[in-house]
Amino acid sequence: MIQNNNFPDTDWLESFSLQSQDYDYLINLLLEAGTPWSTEEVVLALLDYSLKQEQEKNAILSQDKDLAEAYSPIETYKSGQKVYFPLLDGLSGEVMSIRNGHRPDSSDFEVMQVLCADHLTREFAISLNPSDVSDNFNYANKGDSNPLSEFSKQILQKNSPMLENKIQADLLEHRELVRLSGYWFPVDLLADINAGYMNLVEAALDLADGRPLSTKELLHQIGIAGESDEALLIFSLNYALQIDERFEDVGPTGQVLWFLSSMKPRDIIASEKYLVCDPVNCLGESLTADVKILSMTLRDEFSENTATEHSDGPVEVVLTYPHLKAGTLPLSAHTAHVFPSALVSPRVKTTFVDGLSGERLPGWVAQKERFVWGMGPLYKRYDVVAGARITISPGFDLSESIVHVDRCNPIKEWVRTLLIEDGRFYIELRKRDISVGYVEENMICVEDSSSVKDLCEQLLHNGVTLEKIVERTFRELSKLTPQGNVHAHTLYSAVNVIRRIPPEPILVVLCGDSCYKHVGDAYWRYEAQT
Amino acid sequence: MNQQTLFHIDFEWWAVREDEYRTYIYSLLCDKHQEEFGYIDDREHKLFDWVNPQTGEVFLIDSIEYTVRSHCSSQEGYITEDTAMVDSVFRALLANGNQPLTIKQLASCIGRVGQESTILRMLGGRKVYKGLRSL
Repeated sequence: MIQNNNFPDTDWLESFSLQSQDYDYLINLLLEAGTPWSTEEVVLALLDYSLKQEQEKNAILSQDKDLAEAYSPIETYKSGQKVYFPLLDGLSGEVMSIRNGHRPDSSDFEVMQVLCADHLTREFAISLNPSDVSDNFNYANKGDSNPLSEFSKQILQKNSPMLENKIQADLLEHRELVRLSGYWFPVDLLADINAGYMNLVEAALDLADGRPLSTKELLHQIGIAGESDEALLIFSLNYALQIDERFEDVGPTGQVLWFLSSMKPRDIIASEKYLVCDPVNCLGESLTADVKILSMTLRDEFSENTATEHSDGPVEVVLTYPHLKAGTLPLSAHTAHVFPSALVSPRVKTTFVDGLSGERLPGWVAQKERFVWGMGPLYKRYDVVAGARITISPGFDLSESIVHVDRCNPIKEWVRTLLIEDGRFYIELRKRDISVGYVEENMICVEDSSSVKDLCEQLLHNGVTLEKIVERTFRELSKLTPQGNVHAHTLYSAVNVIRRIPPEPILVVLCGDSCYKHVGDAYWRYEAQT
Repeated sequence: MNQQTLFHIDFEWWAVREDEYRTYIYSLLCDKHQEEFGYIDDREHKLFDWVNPQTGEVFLIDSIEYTVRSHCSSQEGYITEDTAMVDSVFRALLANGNQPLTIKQLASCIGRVGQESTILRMLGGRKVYKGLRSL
């Protein structure tokens, strides 16, 4: 940032932290305003205040009386005059010369040449007709010159994430202010929402029959709308609902929608059991670049590549067995853009639209657990198998997603099938009717899912390691081809029937054990050591 | 490069393509001014002071570019649904006095909200289109 003598240096921003007088100043401001302020407004006000203090401090220290004038295009200036430009980061300079301006469609004006503090000569319009001047300069026209505010805005624009994070962290520690959906207000000044009102809210949500209600709707239903400033009432009710376990905010980003926790489908909790998984941490470091790429092509929601991908169209998901059983879809970097998200709510209500029949099904986005629940009925209806291709497109608005199962006429095919006998699992090729499109490498069917579930629990209880599961699965799969080669995706898909695990730990086992020989592409072979 | 990156028209990129630039800018004139300026090579190149409405800074620019910025850019049909994305971005920045804009702002200016990632891919790639570059 270009500095000048009229504005304080911004080096202090690095070590910026809120002092007690800052809190008092902010609380007074909010008291006067009477309504909650957004984080940006709060940060701007505090920045403005800090800058003023810094400026006063600097003025006392430097005793510098030679202050330059703030540039305004409607004013006139003389050669030799010092001037600074609030809208150019407070850049300062000295007027070198003045000439007549030349343009065809405007009244007369002049152009001053300024030697700026960065040693560049720039030209600026002066003596302009006020009607030709942009709103940017309006503060000058109104005699409301506040270049410091402009400077604060510029600082915030350039340091926004750093400053907002610092100030928010300080404010949250202070505890005199509460934050809700990015808005702040002193906790002592919130409107009183007593237990009676909360019971009325519960009744209103109960009567809504599973439809989430906005805070505004709730205010009207419980009959306190109009008793005080609406923005403050909404903020206060949101705060009261947030700290009450009976209620859950299920709205997507930008919308607060309340729902009764007791009305959440029980199956979501059951789904979590199938999908529980530890995220991969730094395992990728022990993998070669090629193997890392191989793991990333599987797009597992618990893989290391969790940064959101910038995408805006439909996405294809290759279903894994845990998601098939749980009736869910993965919420990964690859799929995140087709589902609603929220900054605060752990669960967001969504609607699945069946691309084939048009039927609408309720769904829930579990942000922390990284899945989207509600696909069970469709999996059952279309007889979906693990390895099936599912296409998801964004819906008409934030709250819905269109899912399309790649359906085809049923054909009897020989497919990999996992079965349980005598407390052990085996993989065989068995004939089965398949009526959905699938990815050959990822396809795996299960003969008896309840006995698989029992075996998984038993293996987990007995402390059977991933290495053992990978070895047994690999040896079972290698029997199915004449060469004995196993594709990494097939192994991932089959291991996930027994234990929910992202691809990286499986690939670490393959790369770290000399029994597994990489035979090119994505294939490995098992060669037991003598 | 991300959604916060600012993009602008790099006129140095155009400096080595001066003839191409003149032809391109001429194509941005409205019908009335295309007639007024006549055939592109026949006219005299006048320079005018263009005042950046955001900062008051003055730049000397060619009369055709001045006309596009001050008149044609505010006419109906300057940016339409049929305008190619890269042309729309160029037109929006030119009309805005080449004030750097984020992808989100650009998408809004050219009426393509929701296509931010496509615009980012186009402007963030290795090939520079119409001098559109990040700051």
